[in-house]
Amino acid sequence: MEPPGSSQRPNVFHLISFSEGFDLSPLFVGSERHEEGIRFATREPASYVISRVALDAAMILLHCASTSPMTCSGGRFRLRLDGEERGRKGKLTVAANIFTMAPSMLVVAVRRDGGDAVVEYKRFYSDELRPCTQGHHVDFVFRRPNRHVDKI
Amino acid sequence: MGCVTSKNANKYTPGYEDPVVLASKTIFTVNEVEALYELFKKLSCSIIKDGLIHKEEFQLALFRNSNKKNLFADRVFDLFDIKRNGVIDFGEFVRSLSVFHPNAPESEKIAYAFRLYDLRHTGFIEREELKEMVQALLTESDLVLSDELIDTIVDKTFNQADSKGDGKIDLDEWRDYVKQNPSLIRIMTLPYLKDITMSFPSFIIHSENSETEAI
Repeated sequence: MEPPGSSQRPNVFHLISFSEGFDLSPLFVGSERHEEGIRFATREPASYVISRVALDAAMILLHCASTSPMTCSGGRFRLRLDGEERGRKGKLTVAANIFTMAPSMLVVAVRRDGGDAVVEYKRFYSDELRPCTQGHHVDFVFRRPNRHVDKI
Repeated sequence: MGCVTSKNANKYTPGYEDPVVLASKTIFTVNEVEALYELFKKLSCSIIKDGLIHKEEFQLALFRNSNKKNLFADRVFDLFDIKRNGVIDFGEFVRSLSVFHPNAPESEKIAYAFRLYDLRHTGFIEREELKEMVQALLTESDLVLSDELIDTIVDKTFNQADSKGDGKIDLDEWRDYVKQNPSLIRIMTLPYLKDITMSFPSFIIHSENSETEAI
């Protein structure tokens, strides 16, 4: 019989539960969406930071899953990186969401959150982010859709 | 019909129900229901000032963007709209939120989550519905995965949950599945509901006669 708590296998219901549409907290706390997040500016290459954070997140979540499977609900970490230089359209800001699909399987979603999409983000993606995934065991590569980010 | 302000408390929003009645039918106290009414008035008059929560007002409250479409927010809205008339009135608002209270019975939460995921109201969660929800989540997160990979991860979960192997997840299978994975109903609890009287103080003074004065 499988132990109760976090399943060892990928669970898409768990993934779905991270949708913003299910998070009703903004009804109560105004415009602040309550979530754990990290935001900082860094001189390190973004890829290094993302891979380190992903690794740390994985360690925390693995530990949580092994010590308290009943209460551990996995996690979703948000990470924002602001570029140092002001580029053509303001600072390049990259946002990453890190989900746990299973204790041994992380999904990291990276997207541009501000700044120039045409040159700077493309450069970030090809020079920093893609090479980052090649250092690790990656089962699939995420193709970034060409998408306008609409601001309110 | 103007919007209801707290100075005008003898003119209630459409679908208003007596807080004493609502408190008896839900997990909330009378004070908590009154606090929810303050919140409800705010939400229901943000765009269309008719004292009812429309979809755009719901989207505005959740996403700060009245035009933002989201499959899961749509499901929540649909379930809140108990009378199925396209808007959420105060009674529906309180009755629905009751299930999200930390102290609400787990069986209610499990059944509610099942209905949320039963996109086409068939009484079962079908594989196609699960796949559609996964795709919606991936789109929302700006993730693109191949169709084969989506099928693979959907199948893994679906086959775990569909213990009878009949191609759909019924409520019994869902209950068993949640027992093995309690975190699946974490979306069904809103800790904020415990402090609602502090977040939305209500200044209604109750009097014996039918007219209620508000400060």
